[in-house]
Amino acid sequence: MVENISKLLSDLEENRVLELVKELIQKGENPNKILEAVGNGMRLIGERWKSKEYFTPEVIFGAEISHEITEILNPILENNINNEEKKPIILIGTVKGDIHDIGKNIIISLLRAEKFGIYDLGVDLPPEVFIEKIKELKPNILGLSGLLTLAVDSMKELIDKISEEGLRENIKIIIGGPFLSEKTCNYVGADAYTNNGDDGIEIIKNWMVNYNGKGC
Amino acid sequence: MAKVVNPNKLFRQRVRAFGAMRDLKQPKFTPFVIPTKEWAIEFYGKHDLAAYNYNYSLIEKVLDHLYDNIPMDGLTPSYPGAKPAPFFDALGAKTYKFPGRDLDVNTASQFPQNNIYMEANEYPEFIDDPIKFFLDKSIPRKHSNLRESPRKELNLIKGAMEITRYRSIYYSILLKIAQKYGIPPIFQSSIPTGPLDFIGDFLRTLTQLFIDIKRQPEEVKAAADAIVPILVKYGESAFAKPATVPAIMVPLHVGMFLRPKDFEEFYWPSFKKMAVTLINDGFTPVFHGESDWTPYIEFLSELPKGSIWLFEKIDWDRADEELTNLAFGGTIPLDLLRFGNPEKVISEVQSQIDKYSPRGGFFLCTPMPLMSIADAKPENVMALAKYLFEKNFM
Ligand code: B12
Repeated sequence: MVENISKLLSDLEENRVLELVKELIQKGENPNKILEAVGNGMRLIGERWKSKEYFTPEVIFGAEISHEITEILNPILENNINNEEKKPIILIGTVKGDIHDIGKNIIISLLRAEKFGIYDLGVDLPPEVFIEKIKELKPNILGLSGLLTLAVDSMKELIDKISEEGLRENIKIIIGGPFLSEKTCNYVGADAYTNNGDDGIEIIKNWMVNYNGKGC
Repeated sequence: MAKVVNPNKLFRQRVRAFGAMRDLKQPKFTPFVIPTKEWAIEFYGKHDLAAYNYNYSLIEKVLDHLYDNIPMDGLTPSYPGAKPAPFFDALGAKTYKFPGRDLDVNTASQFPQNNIYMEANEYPEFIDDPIKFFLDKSIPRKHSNLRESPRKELNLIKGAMEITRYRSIYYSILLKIAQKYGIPPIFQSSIPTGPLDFIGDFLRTLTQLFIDIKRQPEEVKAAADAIVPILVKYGESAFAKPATVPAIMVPLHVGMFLRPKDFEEFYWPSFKKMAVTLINDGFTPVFHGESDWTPYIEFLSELPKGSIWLFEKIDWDRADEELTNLAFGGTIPLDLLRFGNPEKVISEVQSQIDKYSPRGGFFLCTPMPLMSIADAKPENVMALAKYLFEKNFM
């Protein structure tokens, strides 16, 4: 029954999946199991997106349905927190001067399904905000999104500051956006770049297991 | 350099070349334009961006410096664009963020979509009478100074006067540039965006629009359909009299989010209606197809002749072969201008001319406007422009 959640979610059957969730809660199903099924459903959506059956709107709608499910679960989950083991942490944001966030949000939705600890910092972020969060959370990976051409220089400025602060050694940096290239990646001093989400997610997953040297 | 050649003659040659290009006939030369909004201001380098929001005549020096150094065949929109900050101030709109007002003095203006101006359950009302919906609902929601009478009427007049003041200064500058350099201002009129794009950009936000497509598909289609005549009228009303190339720029950034089957159902019908109406009415729509349009080539091939496309990305060889009904540009990669050197830039652009100019409907352009000065090394752009100018006119 719980597994049906994954299937219905990945088929974007909003009403049916919400009904099923409510029904399962009534029957006393473990909310963490439901959450896990939601994660699997998002992963299925990710696969259908990778194979180009789904485009951006389908991923956004899937994330919206997942969000509705978590809203239903939240009150129950509060008295049900199980101390999860420490997760690897990824910090993601759109750099200074840029407000584009659809691509970033897709990456976040799909990575959430992978059980990483994801922190979304938002958009148009000055370097100080990143630096402060890096000091506070000590993330393993920093993901920067940039769609405007001027984002390249914002990325460079940020990564230079991270180095000045002595924080660069302990963090892998990936930059994402449609026009980034090996040249821009070298120029800004990141470890990898991507123009599309599935490569990006692959690189991040690899980094989580062990860094395999892929990048720019 | 540009001054040796008679500007009147240049002007006529350039307009003729754009016309021939649109008509897919062989122009005498391949027209060359690069939209340079904020880039041109940094290239001039005398004031921060914010200065241009309020002092409209400052832009004259920027354009003079730009076209003196970089001759182009058409004048593209310059900063601050169609509507300046004081217009939005008068109406009390916070839809755009401007340098010096909401942003650092050198940060390019932003259009963050974080407000919804039409609720999901208001589609029927919008479809029934879009203009009434604007007047009663979305405009007052968007503009804090347009809520109650009589202040609303006064503020509206203030806004209209500001736009008139801006345009009269701006157009007189365009005229001077045209007279001095023979550059026709053909890319100055626009429609904010395509029909379905409009619902996303100005009423719902793109993210909500995508969700609406799933939840209330019929209403979304009807809404896109309902806005078509208004957009057409908006674009056409900019021309008092017929022009040789009555170009109307239309940026498009929603269609290419959709799967081809959804594109066909949700995007194409209203868009095609708009494009065909503009063409049949004798105008030249210049569509800026943002992102990758390769998956939609088949649809585009249905359009009647008469539109010009600036593609950010497309399979150029397929476009060349299959889109025999339209003119296109957008092939000059920004990485080339950013990291290349003059020789490389010239040789690559020349090979693009060799390859695509035989189709007639081809112009030279970057896939997107230049924003910061680092986007393109000035020496690269200058060398390219000089090369083309000498080749075409000397
Ligand atoms: C949609 C869009 C908008 C929307 C944004 C809505 C939103 N909430 O994000 C709106 C309409 C608001 C908008 C506004 C503007 N835009 Co805009 N916009 C686009 C457009 C068409 C698509 C972007 C998009 O969402 N793509 C879909 C997503 C899914 O793809 P993606 O972002 O590339 O993300 C994928 C990968 O890149 C990667 N990825 C992305 N980030 C990350 C991060 C990490 C960590 C990883 C691993 C991977 C990754 O994975 C994603 C999934 O595959 C682009 C064109 C383009 N080629 O991108 C123009 C574009 C970026 N915009 C442009 C411009 C000019 C603007 C404006 C300045 C226009 C204006 N005058 O108002 C404004 C203001 C923007 C600002 N100051 O920040 C220009 C930029 C030109 C330049 N020289 O820089 C572009 C290139 C269009 C063009 N051809 O002219 N825009």
